[in-house]
Amino acid sequence: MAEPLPPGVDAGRMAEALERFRRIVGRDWVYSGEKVASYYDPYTIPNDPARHKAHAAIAPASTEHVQAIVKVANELRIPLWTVSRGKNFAYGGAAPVLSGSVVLDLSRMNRILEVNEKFGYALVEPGVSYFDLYRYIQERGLKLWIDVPDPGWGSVVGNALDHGVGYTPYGDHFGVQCGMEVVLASGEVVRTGMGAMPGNNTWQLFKYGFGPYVDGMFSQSNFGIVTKMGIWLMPEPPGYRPYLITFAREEDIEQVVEIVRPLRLNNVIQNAATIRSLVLDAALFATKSQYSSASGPISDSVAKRIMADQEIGMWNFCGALYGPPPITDALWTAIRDAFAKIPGVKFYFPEDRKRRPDILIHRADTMRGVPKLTEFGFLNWNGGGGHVGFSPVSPTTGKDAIKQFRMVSGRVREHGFDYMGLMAVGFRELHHVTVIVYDQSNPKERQTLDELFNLLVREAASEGYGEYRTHIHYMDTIAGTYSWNDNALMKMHQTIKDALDPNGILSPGKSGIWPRHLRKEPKQ
Amino acid sequence: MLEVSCRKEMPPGALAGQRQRLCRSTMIIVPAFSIRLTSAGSRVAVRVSPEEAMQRRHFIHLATLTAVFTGAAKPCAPALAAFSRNRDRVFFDQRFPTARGVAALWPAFDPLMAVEGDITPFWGNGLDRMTRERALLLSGVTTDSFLFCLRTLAAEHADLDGRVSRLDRNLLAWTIYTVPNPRAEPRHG
Repeated sequence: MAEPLPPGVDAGRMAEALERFRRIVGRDWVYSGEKVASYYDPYTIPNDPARHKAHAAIAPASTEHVQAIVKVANELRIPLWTVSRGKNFAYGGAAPVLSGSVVLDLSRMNRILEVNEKFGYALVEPGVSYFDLYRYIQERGLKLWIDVPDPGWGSVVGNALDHGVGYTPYGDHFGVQCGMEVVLASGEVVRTGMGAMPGNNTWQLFKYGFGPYVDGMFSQSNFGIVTKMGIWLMPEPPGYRPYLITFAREEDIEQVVEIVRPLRLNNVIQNAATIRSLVLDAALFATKSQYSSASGPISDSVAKRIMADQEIGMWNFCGALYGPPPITDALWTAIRDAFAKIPGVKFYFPEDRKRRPDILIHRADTMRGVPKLTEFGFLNWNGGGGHVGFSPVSPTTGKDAIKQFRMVSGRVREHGFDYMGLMAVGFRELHHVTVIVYDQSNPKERQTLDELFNLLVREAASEGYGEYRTHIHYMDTIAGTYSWNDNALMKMHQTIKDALDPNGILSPGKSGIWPRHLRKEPKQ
Repeated sequence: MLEVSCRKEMPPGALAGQRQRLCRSTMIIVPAFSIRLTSAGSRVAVRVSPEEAMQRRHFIHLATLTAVFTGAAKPCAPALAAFSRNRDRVFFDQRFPTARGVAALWPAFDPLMAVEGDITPFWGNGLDRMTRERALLLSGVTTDSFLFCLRTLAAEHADLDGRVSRLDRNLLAWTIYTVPNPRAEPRHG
C-alpha cells in the first residue's frame, strides 16, 4: 500500500517538501517508501490499514535543523508528527494520529548537555534515553539517581512531556522538569522560565521565571517542539530499602488505599509506589499457559495457584524507603503497623524472596532508577503481544479505588481478557493503569479490544473519571470527555493552536487538538 | 543445513499449520519456509536452512522502529557472509520445555544463553557493544517480547535482517543478523 498523503497535499507538493528536507538534514535522514514501516504502530489497534500511517519521516540533528524544517513545512503546509524517540509503544509508538503526516524523529538529537551533581539536574535533548542518562551518570561515578518509567529505552524529555511516571520520590516526571527550549511553528526558538534571561544561571534551578508559566503548554500538546529540557535528579540517598506487601483478596484494595492516603500525604510512603494486581505481576515472569489451558480470564483456583507459586498476592504493594537507617526504620514501623490490620497481609524485604526471577527483586531496581525492559514480559501472558493502556485517574480513597477496579476489571473480564492493573500512588490521586494485552495478529480480538476500550472510556467518564494519557487512536475520544462548560478547555486549546500554529503543521490531532482546517466537532 | 530436533507436545505439522505472514509493523512472522517439520514418532524434527531461505529472498526486513531509520532494508553482502560462520549468541527461554529441548540440540560451539524473558541483563552486558562493533548472527527460541526488545534495541545502531517463525503460543524461533550502521548517530555525552 502506498504511503498516504495528508489532506490537501498532493504528491507533487509532498515530493518537493521531502527534497527540501533532504537539503536540510541530508539524504540519509529522510525516509520514505518501505522505510516508513519503522514508524508504524507495532501494536496497532484499528483494522483499517490506512489509519495512523506516516507518509515519510525526517530526523534532524539540531535545533537549527528543526527550525529550518518547520519553515518548509509551513510554506508547503506539510503536517509534522513529532516524536522524541518514538518508544511509547503502549500509546502508539512513533505513529501519527493523522495519516500522511511526516514524522519528525528527534532521536538523533541525543546530547546530554549537562549533568550537575551539586544541584542535581540534567539538561538533555529529546533523543536521550533513560539508558543513556543512567550510563552517563554511572560512568562518571556521580552521586545522582534518575527516575525511570518501566521501559528504559524511552526519552527522558518525551516521557516527561507525556506526563509519564516513575517510581522514586521523583516519580512525577513533568513535576521535576525545569526549563525548556522550544521551537515554535514559526521557526522561532523560545527558552522558558529563567532561560529567557540572557546570562542567567538558574534555568534548571527555578521553574517559573517571570510572568506566565508556560511549560505546561508544551506537554501533551502540539503547540511547539521541545528541543532541550532540564530534569531534576535525586541525590543518591544514604540508605535504600525496598519492600513488598501482599494482600490476599481483591476486595482488600479498598482498605489498602484508605491506609495509603495518609501515609503518602505525610510522606511516610516516600516514593511513587504501586499497588499491582496479581496477573500483572505474574505475567512478568510466567505465561498463562504455564498455569491454565482454559481460554478467557483465569479462574479463582488458578489465581490461588499463581499466588502460591510466585509468593504474591491479589494485590502487591511495592514501595521503598530512602534515607539514613534510623529514619527508614521509623518509617517502616509506621507503614508495617498501618497495614498489619488487613487479614492475610504479608511483608517482605528482598532478602525474604528466594524465587528467581521475583517481582520485588525486579522492582527494587526500578525504584532506585535503574532502567530496564523487564516489564515487557507481561506481553507474553496470553501470546500475541499487543498491549494498550487504559489510565483513568482516581482520588486516593478506598471507595473510588474499588469502584474503579470493579468497573474496569468487570468489563475487561467480560470481554475475555485478564485484568492486569496497577495503581500508581500520587500524593492525592491514583493513576489506575490497566494494561489490556491482546493478540495483535487477530483482527477480531483487536475489534473486541476497541469496543472494550470505548466502553471503558464512556463508563469511566459517566462516573467522573478521566484518563491522564492515551493511545493515539483514542485521543479524540478522551479529549471529548473533558467537556465541562461546553468544551471550554478545548476551545481555549484551539485558540492557542490557531495563534501559535496558524497553518496547523505541528502534530495535528495530538490530544484531540486539531488545526482549524481539520477541525471537527468534539466527540461527546 | 542445521538440524535441530526437539521433544515436545506439539503435533506434527503444527508449524506448517501456523504458516502466516503478518507484516504488522514490527512483528513480522514469516512463513516457515526454512523450518520444516517432519514427524518421527513423538519427536519433531525442525530443519533449518538459512542459506536456502536467503537465496529465496525469504528474509524479511524486521521493521523495528529504527531499523529503517538506520537504513536497513535488504540483506547486504556482509550480512550474507555472516551465515558462513558460527552464531554469536543463541538464546533460549529456559522456562519452557520446548525451548530447552531445542537448545539441547544446538551445536556445542554455539554460545548458549539461558534467558527468562528479559533481555535487559544481556543487552547491558555485552550485546549493546557487540552490535555497534561488528556483524552478529543471533538466534533464539524465546518469547515475543524478548525478540521485540532485541530488534528494537539493535536497530538503533545496526541494520537488521532476519527470519521469525512461531513455534507455539509462547515461543518464537528466530534468526537475526545485524551489521553495524556507519550512519547511526554516535552516543553523545
